[in-house]
Amino acid sequence: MRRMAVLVVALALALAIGAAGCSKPQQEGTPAGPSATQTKMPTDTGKKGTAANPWVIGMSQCNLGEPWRIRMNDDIKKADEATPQVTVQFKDAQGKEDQQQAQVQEFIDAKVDLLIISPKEAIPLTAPVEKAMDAGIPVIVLDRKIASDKYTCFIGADNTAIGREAGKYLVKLLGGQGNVVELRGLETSTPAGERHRGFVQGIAGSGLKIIASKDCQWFEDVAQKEMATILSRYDKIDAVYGHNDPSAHGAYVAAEQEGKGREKTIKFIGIDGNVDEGLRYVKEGLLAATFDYPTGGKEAIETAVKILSGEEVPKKITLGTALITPENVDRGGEPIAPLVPPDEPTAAGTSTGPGQ
Amino acid sequence: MAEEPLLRMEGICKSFHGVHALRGVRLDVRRGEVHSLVGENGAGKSTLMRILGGAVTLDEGTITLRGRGQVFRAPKDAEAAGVAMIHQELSLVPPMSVAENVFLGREPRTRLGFVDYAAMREHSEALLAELGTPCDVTRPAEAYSIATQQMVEVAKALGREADLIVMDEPTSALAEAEAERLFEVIRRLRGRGVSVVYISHKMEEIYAISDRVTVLRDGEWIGTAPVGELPQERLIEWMVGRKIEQLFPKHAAEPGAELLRVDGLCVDTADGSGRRAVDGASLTLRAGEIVGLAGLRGSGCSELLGALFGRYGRVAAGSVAIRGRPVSITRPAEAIANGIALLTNDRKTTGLVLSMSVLHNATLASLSRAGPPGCVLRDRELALAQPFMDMLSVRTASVDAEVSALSGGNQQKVALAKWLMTEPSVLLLDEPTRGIDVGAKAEIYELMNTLVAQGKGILLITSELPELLAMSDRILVMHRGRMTAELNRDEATQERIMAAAMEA
Amino acid sequence: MDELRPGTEGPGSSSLARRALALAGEYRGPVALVVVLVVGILIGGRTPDGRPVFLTGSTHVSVFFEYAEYGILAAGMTLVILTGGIDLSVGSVLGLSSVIFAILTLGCGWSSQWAALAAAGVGAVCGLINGILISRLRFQPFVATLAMMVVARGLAKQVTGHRKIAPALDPWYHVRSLSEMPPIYKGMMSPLAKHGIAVTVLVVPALIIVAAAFFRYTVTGRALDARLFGSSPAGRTARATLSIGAWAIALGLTVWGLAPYLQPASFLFVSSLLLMALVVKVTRFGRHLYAIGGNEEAARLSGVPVARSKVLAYVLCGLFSGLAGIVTTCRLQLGNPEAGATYELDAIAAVVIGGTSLMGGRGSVALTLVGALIMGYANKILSNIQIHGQFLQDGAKLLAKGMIIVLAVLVQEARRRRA
Repeated sequence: MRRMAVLVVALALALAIGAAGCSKPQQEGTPAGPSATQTKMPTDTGKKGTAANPWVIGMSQCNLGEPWRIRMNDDIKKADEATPQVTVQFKDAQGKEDQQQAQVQEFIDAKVDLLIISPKEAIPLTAPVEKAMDAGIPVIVLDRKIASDKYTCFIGADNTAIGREAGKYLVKLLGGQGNVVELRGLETSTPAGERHRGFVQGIAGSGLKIIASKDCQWFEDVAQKEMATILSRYDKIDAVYGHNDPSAHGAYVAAEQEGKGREKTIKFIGIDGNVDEGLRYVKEGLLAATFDYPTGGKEAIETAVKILSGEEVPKKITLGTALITPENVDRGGEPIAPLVPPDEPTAAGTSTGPGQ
Repeated sequence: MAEEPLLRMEGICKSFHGVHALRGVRLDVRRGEVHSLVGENGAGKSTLMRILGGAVTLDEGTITLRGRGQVFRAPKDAEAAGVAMIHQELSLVPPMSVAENVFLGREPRTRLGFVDYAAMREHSEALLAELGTPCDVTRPAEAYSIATQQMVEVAKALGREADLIVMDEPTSALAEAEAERLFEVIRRLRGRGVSVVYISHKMEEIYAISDRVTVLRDGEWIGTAPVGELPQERLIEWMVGRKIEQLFPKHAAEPGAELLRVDGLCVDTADGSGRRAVDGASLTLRAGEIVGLAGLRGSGCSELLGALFGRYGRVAAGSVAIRGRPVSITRPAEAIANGIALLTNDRKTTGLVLSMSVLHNATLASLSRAGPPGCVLRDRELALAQPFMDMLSVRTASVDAEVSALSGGNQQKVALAKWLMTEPSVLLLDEPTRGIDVGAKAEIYELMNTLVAQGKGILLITSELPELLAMSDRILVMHRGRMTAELNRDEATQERIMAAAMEA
Repeated sequence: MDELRPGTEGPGSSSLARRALALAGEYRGPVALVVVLVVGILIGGRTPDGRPVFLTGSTHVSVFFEYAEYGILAAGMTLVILTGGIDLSVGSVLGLSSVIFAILTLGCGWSSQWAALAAAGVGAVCGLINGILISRLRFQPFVATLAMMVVARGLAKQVTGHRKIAPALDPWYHVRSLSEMPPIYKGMMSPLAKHGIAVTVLVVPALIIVAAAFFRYTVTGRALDARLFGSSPAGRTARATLSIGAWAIALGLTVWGLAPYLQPASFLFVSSLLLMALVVKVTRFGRHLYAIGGNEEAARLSGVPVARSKVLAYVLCGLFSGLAGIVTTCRLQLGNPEAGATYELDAIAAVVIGGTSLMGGRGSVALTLVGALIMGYANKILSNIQIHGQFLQDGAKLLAKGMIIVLAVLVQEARRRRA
């Protein structure tokens, strides 16, 4: 009886691992066929960086619990499939710093050719990244920074610039006049601060006025509650600027629930442009616009190939954004090139990413 | 043999890890018969009954029930075949109502599929009334005494239409009157054609209730005989394999100096009702003396011993003096330091730590002497324990064996070893021979004699009056927390004790 | 370590295979650990040059290093579980002591020793409160430590103002800007020493001594033992001295030999467990824990100071949480009020996989070390397995981990039934 139970559990264990392997290619949002990742197995023969013997890249993702980060992994996967010279292995640290430290160590032990990391937290991951560099592994840091400049290349978007673009767009949309509500991301996080600062720069000199600005912690339900309060206090609201798409959408729902039809007159704009969030809301006409917050996945693979081929790459690559409106959503938005960013001190940023 | 017996077990063999527990044992039970199964602890009675109940599968042998061969793989097989087991530890669910317990697992349903409480109540009431124990079946089982709960178990068995009921030491937790009522029920069951296999260590019960007796010894069948043809001496001989000249050895009492004096001791009951479990008890105990305490359940004898040992914290009133020096004992540790030892009446729940080894149990109360301060060294521990293990002839495969693996008698010896190791001058022994076999009993009596000869004093509680009468120099009788009589050895009789125990 | 010693053989076990099996059954924990290691070698991933990852020294070094906090927590947790209790607050207390340590070292400029003492002390005080609630006020351990779990987490967030404690960041809550982190932050996480003596030169003789010590438990060893020392008091003393000396030398050699590889965090993990294993084995307090867990009333009636022993068990558990908090702070290089969330579950799992009963009274700290290593190595395997060139995803890992726990407990249960 007991022996049976032991057997059954052991079998289940084997099945679970096996099933995990099989289900691998059909996971969320991977549009490509199932064969691509399977065929690219590294072998020991010949020169590296060919389809037969690709470079192995380790990708350490800090938390796959956020839609934007799933998109980042998907972008890398797509780029990987289009690039025969490399193959990417993914690890997910489930939002735990210590686990991400361990995974970087595992990539070092496995002697990957290059490491891409999107760190959970700057300080704890500084030492592991430095260790990888010491071991001769080039490191591309994605989205969030680390607390030293010992890395090969940083790729990230400029939140201040995106905020500024959003501000400028609203000025245009409202004809230079109007009352704006700002629904901010988590107050203590760096992106929220930057998106706020950029927005203020963007509307400077126009007739736009921020009549209310609330910390919604990136959460849709919080934004909805805050917006309901704001709606009851202000009769004239022309636009809502959400630091992320769910906040803007929450505001839309609050206006709808108010029952005065104000959701038709107020312009809602957000940031991020995830497929199931911002893009959908724009397509359905709920949001007037959203600004793409790029993941840098594609750029990371491009840069990786350059580094591995021995080409020079810049220390910092700042990503542009795209204005996505109902008119251009099907074309993928209208790209806005990155402005030359003001150089920031590298040690900065506890950087809690968007969507948190 | 005129008719096919209800149950026939033949050639039953069972071994555990290469050790034979049963070798070719047989047992046949007729319809409407009360059949006693006796033997020392470890003789194989329990294993045989567990096989009959389906809890253990047999290695060899056959079970025939009502003329049909049976293979029991699980308790439910045996239950379906009409065999019910009533263990020492009752299997009722305490917070559930009596009726729910009686119908546990086979609740009657209404047409809508809900539990039919009305039918359940009606049937269980009828069953219990038939057993002479009418009670409110909607109250939880735990609200009733052990005796009533046992009746609920019987009702449960009858409700399942069992015609063979196994009772494993059912009277061990019952007072005399309650046991008498149980016998009445057993006789009634017999009248209905139900057969009962009765396991007990008490001679009087066996002779009072059973039709026939089967004796097991060391896993082997020794004999089966009608009680009328089997005199007590012969039965004991069958059980122990040797003649016991005298079960209760006499001892010469030469009381010395006063060891313990108790004046007006009062103990509140644990339920917080303000009632007194012990109400103004006074006694003295001298060196070399065994003082017996007699009383029915609820008389407060056990509570008196517990209070002397500091089990209940500060006592409500009264004073205790040891060797003439007044002491205030509020914790067991203080009692031990004052040379008092308490052997509780239930070694499994309060006497031993069953998950620990024999050695660790034996030294538990003397660890301060088993090594440098704060430490326990195995060598020292062994040296400390060995003399007592030898003196008590504890039979165990290894001192590192879990104490739960030992037979009842040997467990009791380990508990005694623990207390003797503390070098007490006053021993409080609460039912020291409960649930142990005849051989071990005799050894414990012998030990008590040795101890008093060394100048120790013993306060003894035992519910077996012959034992009490034989061992005690004086007997104090308690009723509802009060001392109702003090009888000297020569004036004490069973009748006088019972009289004092039953009326204030 | 009674559980690790072979028992007397049954009469039927004559063949070699059967004896080997019986032995394997007795040493179930270590055997399971070896199985996990073999599985690791087989499927635990390969380095680019084709060697199994589990045959590289750095993998083993990282298992000890990465599992340090869980192992330290499990040391204290075993004591509590032996009494039949449970401590759910260890993860939160870890978080609290972590931020206290960070504030004192980074914010107030305390020296590392005093800050460590204070952080460990905070852990011990939390344990003391748990112990008093449970033994004096008769709270159920689950409830008392659940409350502490919430309170300690709340305190951690309160004292930090919901922020992480690190230097050189935004205008942080009373943290001065440090040009350099205190040395303990780096020291805890880097190998102990840099001397170049090869590990085999030192560790191999240590292993020989340990093997010799276990030889004493064999029949031949016992006979030899008796002939060499006899049973006179002088002989016993000589034997005890020699034995203690040998163990000390073995331990010293091992530490010295591993120093260039292992970090202080790993040493803290192993030595916490070894120390507690010793305490439980040779002290009265240790014996009392078993007695209380096995049968509290019987223990009390045998004069065991039940309340005092329980309080001490919870205090030690809190103290180890505090120590683990210091390790976490050094690992993250900052004080995180969220640190340690759900760590209590991993600690409990290590104890249970080792074979210590949640009912109390049965088990040992030595087994917990084995359980912790099984968990640590299993984690490493799951983290390194590749299917179609890809690592396992989170969901599959959790599934597998859950089943490892069930499997381990089933195996342990089987042992208990057999016994």
